[in-house]
Amino acid sequence: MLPNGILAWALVSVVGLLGLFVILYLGLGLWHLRKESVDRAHLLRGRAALHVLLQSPGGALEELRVLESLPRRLQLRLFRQTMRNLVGARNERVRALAEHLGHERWAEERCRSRRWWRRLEGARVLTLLSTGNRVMPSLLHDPVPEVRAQAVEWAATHATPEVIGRLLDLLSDPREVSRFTVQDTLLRIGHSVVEPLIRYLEIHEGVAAVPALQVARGIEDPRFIDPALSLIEDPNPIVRSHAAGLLGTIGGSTAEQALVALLTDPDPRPRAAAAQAIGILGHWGAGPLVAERLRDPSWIVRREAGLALRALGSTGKLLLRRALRSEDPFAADMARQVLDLPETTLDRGVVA
Amino acid sequence: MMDIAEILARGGVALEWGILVYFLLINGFYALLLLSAAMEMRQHFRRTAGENRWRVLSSRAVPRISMIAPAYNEAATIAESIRSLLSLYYPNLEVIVVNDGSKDDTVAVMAREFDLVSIHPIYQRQIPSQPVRALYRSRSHPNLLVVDKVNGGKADALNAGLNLARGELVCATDADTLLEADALLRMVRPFLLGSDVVAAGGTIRVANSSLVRGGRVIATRVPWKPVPGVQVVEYLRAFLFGRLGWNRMGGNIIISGAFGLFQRSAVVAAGGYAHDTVSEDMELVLRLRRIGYERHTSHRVEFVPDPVAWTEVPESLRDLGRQRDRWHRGLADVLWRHRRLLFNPRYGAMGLVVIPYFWLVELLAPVVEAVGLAVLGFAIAQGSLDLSFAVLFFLVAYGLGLLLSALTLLLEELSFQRYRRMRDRILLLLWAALESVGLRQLSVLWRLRGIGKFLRGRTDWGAMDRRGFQRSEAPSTRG
Repeated sequence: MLPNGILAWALVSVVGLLGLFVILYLGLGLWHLRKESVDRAHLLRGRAALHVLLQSPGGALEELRVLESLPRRLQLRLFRQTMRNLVGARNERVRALAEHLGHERWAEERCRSRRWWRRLEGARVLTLLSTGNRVMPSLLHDPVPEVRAQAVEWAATHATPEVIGRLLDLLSDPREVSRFTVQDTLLRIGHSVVEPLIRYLEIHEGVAAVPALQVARGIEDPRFIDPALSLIEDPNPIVRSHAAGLLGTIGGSTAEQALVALLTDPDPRPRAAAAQAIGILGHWGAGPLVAERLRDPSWIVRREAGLALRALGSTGKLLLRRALRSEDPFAADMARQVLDLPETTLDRGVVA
Repeated sequence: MMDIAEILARGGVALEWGILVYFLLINGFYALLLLSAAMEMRQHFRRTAGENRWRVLSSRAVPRISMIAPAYNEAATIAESIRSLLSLYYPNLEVIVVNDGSKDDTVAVMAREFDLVSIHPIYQRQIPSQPVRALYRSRSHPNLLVVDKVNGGKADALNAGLNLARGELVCATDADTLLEADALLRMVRPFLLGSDVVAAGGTIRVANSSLVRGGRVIATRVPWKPVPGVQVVEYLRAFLFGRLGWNRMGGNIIISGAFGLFQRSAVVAAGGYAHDTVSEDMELVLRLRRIGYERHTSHRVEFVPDPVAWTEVPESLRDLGRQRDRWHRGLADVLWRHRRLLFNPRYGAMGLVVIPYFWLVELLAPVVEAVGLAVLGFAIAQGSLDLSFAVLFFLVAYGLGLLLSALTLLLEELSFQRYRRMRDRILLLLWAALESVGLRQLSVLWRLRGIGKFLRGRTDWGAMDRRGFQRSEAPSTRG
């Protein structure tokens, strides 16, 4: 076996390291306690100074000096805490203060760093300050997903045509890591993205169109009718389902006709989406065709058809009652379940 | 020809060498895990420093989360637990409480406190579960759904909840777990940034002795009692370096049943939770990953190091023993069910690194440790082993265990610093020392018992006496 000497050396090393780590642990603990208490006092002074500066934008040199005396990380923490709760002129005032303290310039320099976490740090500060037009657009092409996602978040308040174009490119980013942020940002931008999104949908098909269709559905603009009508014929059933959902937010006779045609789609997902959209639009003329879907072999289509009939009002309920006598036990069962649903508005909201 | 004594002596030496190599391998792997965990932690802090998590609150693009909380005989605490769940920060949240055939007034308390009304939603039973007796929706909180079903165990209750969940993501939690208010904002992050994530787990901490108000931990404390105290160190070690370290080295296969977030479609496609195991949480994660490999679909499991949930741990050795016995039985059961993953290159790093580690280190460690002790004792009795060597070996072995715990505490101090009082830090050091030289040996016995029970086919859970959380004020049971 191992000679005792080696084990003794191992033991001494372990004990030595253990002692070192214990000292480090307790030392760090003391340092954190001290830092916490100093930071607390600084933040208290800083908050009071910021309050005065917001009340009297012109003067208060003393308070400005107090803010200047704080370490950068505390200044930024203070701005982060404050800016999220302020709007309008006061927010602008805080932003001006941050600029005066050199945060914008500092963050821009960080954004040009070769280290990704520094670029991310800079991008977050510039997003907070809602500034950085000089450096942020280039970060929309950053190779690191986190940095790119941060730049996308920034873009919500800086929606130039170039920026929107880049955001739409990112919708079909194969790495997908920033898709949520892109969709969220496009929804926040709102109607300004309608035209570029239409152009995007005109040239994209298949799964690449799905995230754009989801955004379009959230924006609810009638100008999406043409791309929606085109994509409802896409070979991919998921795309057809999303296109049906979009038509359900638009309405009109053309959309209704397309949705009725989709009720006989070979895939159950578009059939279900079409039935749901018809229900949302309240297109009672399609009631008998929707009622036929109660006999659909797919449960999800039967369910959506039943709920759609319910949404169509008295016409739909009449059709549901007729379905109770259907030869198809599945259709009769679904009709019974839908007719048994409670009537109140509150309860209606909880069944769909 | 060698005589029997010589054969025994040579066998003993070979066994000792085997144990020594095993010991070095384990500690080497621990060191690797710790390094990996430290790197992951640094990366995590770089990614999240200065991040605006609150943006999610006002987003229309976030996925809906259905939170499923099984409850069994929880009349005393259910109202507060549900309020705590309903007040989580998340914009698109549905809470499903599944009453698993409680024999007390759990349903009556919920009906009274949340103004429940009976509903008949149209839903499909995609996963089999015990019959559902009734479904209720709260009038005061429309995002609260209560499922009253025939008793079938936790896995069955979760499956019943899965059938009714409408969220893209489902969160499995225990009704008695205390969640941080922004737990979901933190946990949803991997799903928002990566479309290939099927599950995410977060750090669970020990809540015993901490101050609780309104279902939230408002001040963390390290327990004075040794049994929960040493578990604080154990939990820190398991989560801070164990699971975090695996993120980089082949991925996690464990997500605590107390709090985990899953892609609903993946869980439903996998058939939901298994009924016939005491470790349904680990079994599900392993199955999700296995299916992902086999069908070439998403199977990434992420671990979020932020402390997101707090749980009450056993306060007596008897309860702790039962719990550890059950955990080890569960581990043995899950590894045996998925034994074909072992050293199977088809499953990538999971088959070649993660599963072998769990077999050799997690499952068989108590066996090796017990055999090692027996051989050492036998060798010393026979006079074939130097006593000073044995003592030195023990000291090095337990010193390394202690070193690992000290490094974990250091990692906590460098990252989250949840134990803010100096008194708590010193107590943690004390419990770390006790954990290495007291609990660890007892744990060997409990885990051996677990293996024995697994071999005999026992599947019972065992009971645990809960003392309740230390509240900063009397909890209100109404509005």
